[in-house]
Amino acid sequence: MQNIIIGQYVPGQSFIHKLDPRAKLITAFLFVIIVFLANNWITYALLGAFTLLAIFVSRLPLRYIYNGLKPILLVIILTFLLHVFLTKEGPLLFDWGFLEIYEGGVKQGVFISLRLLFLIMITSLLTLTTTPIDITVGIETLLGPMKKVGLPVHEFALMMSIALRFIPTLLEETEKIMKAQSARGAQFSSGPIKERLKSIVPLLVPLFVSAFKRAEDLAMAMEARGYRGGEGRTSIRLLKWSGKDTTLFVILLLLCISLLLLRS
Amino acid sequence: MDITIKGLEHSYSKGTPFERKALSNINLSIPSGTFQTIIGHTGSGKSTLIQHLNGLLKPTQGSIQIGDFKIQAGVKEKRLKALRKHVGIVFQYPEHQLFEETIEKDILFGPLNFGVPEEEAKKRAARLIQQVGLDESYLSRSPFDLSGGQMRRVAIAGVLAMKPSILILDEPTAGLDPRGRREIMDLFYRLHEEEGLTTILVTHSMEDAARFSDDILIMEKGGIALQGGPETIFSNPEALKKLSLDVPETVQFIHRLEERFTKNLPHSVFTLEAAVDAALSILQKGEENS
Amino acid sequence: MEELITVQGVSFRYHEDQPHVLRDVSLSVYKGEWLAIVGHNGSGKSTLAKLLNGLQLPEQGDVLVEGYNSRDEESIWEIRRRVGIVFQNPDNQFVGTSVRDDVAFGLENSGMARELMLERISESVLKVRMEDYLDQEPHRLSGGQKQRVAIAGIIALRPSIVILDEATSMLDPAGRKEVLQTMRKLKEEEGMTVISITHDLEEAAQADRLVVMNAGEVIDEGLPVEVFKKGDMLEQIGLDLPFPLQVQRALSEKGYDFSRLTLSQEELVNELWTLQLKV
Ligand SMILES: Nc1ncnc2c1ncn2[C@@H]1O[C@H](COP(=O)(O)OP(=O)(O)OP(=O)(O)O)[C@@H](O)[C@H]1O
Ligand SMILES: Nc1ncnc2c1ncn2[C@@H]1O[C@H](COP(=O)(O)OP(=O)(O)OP(=O)(O)O)[C@@H](O)[C@H]1O
Ligand SMILES: [Mg+2]
Ligand SMILES: [Mg+2]
Repeated sequence: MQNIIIGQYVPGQSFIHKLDPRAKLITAFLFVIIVFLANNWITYALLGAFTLLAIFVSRLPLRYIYNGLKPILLVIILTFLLHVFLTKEGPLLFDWGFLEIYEGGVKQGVFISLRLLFLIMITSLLTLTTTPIDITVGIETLLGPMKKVGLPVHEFALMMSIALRFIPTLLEETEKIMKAQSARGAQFSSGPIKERLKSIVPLLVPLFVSAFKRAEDLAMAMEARGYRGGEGRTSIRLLKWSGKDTTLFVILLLLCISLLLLRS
Repeated sequence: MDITIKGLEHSYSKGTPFERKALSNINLSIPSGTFQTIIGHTGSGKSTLIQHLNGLLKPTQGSIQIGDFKIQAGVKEKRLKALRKHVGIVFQYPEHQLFEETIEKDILFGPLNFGVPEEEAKKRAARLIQQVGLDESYLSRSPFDLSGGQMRRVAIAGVLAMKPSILILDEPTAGLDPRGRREIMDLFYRLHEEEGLTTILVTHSMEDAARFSDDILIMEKGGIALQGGPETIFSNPEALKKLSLDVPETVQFIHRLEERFTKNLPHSVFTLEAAVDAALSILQKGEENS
Repeated sequence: MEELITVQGVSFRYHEDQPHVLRDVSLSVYKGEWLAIVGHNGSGKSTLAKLLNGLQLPEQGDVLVEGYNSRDEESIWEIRRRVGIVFQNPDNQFVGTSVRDDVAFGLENSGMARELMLERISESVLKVRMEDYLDQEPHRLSGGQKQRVAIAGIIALRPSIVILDEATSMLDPAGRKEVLQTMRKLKEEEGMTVISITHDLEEAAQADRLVVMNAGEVIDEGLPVEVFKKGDMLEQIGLDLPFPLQVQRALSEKGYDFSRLTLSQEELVNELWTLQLKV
């Protein structure tokens, strides 16, 4: 469970850590769009360079990112193979009778997998370098103008922050119950699959019971400290647009223009 | 079962940016039948250490030998369940240990897992719930609707029901009322003596540490700072203060008496009776002189 | 003395089909005092604490905090601003994702300006000696460390009344002393009122006033010396006497007469000195 990097925040002091969460959110959002502009080797190389640069600048340990990506790698490889075998364009490269591989298929496979990889890396980078609270605050301010149209922006942000706060709690709770049960003879990580599945059921019931109880206690602690929704609340987190954020936007703009010029 | 720990090191979240070394280079041997107490300030690694003794945490370096079970960094021990039958842990926070719908089911969880027939297990539950100071009507209640001290009692019953031969107690009396404290510590000690258990007690109570221990281990920053019998450990108040610890009340009392009456008194005074005797000896000497 | 909290004939139970957990409890808390509440496990201490800041509402009777009745919905927030609780278990009161966020939580709720918040945060983490852990996530702290952060989160709010519900039971001796000293200092210097729910009799002995609970009722209250005179009664309901008193009691059984009860070792040794001079 420790390897999951989605939603994890790694404290740090890098350029990317220090960016305004709004800048990061917008960048991630724009990136998702401009990834689809790429359609030849050079444009993909450009996106790749941007992604690698971002990872490099974030100073996150590469090994950690690699470990975190491992589970997703399987999906990417699967996507790749699917395209390689199913796309029948361009000159034929191999022909084993029942299996034919075309150059177009390979190209398509590589492109689509790269696209997936870039998307995952950039969005992971967002969550790895931004605390959940900052992300929530960022979203809330970005969507702020929508309040005027009557959208429940604050409630949405609140829901999200509670969910974000709750995921680690739930994971932690699972670990604790597993420990408590293992200490009294339950088995989780060894034995035949059937046994393992059987031991998961008694884990779920108490997990829900205690997560519920925990939520109740937490709600009580929050109330005891005067929490009553977003009205009139201030925030310790300060969003400040700085030169760094503008720099990021200039880079993003350059990337955009290059993509438009270089795509075929 | 003897316990031997060699070069034990533990880092939480090893290999991630969250890595945090909580134990380093621990060497320790606990002969079978010892009452071993571990003290140390908060965050010194006590809970981390004891969770290694039944394989809940894996060493990132070094090894732990318990009887003929061996837990080693990087090696998978296949007989963990068998080991856990012998090693019972009462966790620091009782509510983490409770998970069933009713208290009875919770107490039965361990014994049933280890193949104790249901009837026998239920008998144990009925007996234990009383031994920890609650009456049988509690058996059908939910363990989550209890007061802090009641939860702790249930958690203790659940571990004792497994009849472990090594009993690990992580601050078992925190949150208990004075009588509960005394009764539960007496219960542990009785079991220790009668069943020949190896008991490992983590505590912030210097009084308990002094009273029951054969050997005391003081932890500091993930390592061992001091080790010895109660007499040795509590003979040096200054060293203890530096480690955020203290001497038991009885010893404090003796030191005060010595200072005020400028007399030498025996130092290994760990019970109320002995403290009273010391006071008596001073009063009586006063009488003889006059 | 100014009365801050008034509890009048309060009864409470968690479920309709269960017996009452509090029965006809009446109690006053005065400004600037250190009130200790003792009682056996399950006697209703934590429940009473929850009633005092409006987390639970009485079934019968009233709880008044500086004139605000917890039954009025409008008053609840006024009450919670004035009464802070540090709970028994530090795990279940962590709200933030880092120590700083957690300490800030209550301040944010009160709508404090950011500058002032930062000031208050660094001040209160310093008081509990957690200043090096500001960016640490709570689930990576030890039990005692978490408890200290929880205390910081409450004192940052500067409530007029702080309830410590066995807040020091997970701390090492030095940590315990430190927290109690911190609280005592706040009491002395800022006139804070402290209600300490505790099983530690030494601590209870040092309180200004002591309330004894048994099976949902307040069965005694008064100066610690007065309450501890009733040793047999206390033992009967699962409590004990502080160490100096136990020694004194054993000695009086041996025929030594003391002029007064002593609640601290220092007093006891002094008494022994006079006694020795007499004989
Ligand atoms: N799950 C965890 N993940 C990361 N670090 C942890 C975890 N649990 C504890 N630590 C860290 O390991 C160190 C030792 O913690 P441990 O819980 O063993 O201390 P302890 O001696 O039991 O303290 P206490 O008396 O407060 O219970 C602490 O610095 C703590 O911050
Ligand atoms: N959430 C709950 N639902 C139902 N009953 C409860 C709940 N919490 C506590 N009780 C019951 O109410 C009674 C009083 O509990 P409370 O927690 O107030 O005791 P306490 O004096 O704080 O005890 P301790 O010293 O063990 O903390 C107990 O008998 C307990 O079983
Ligand atoms: Mg611990
Ligand atoms: Mg309580």
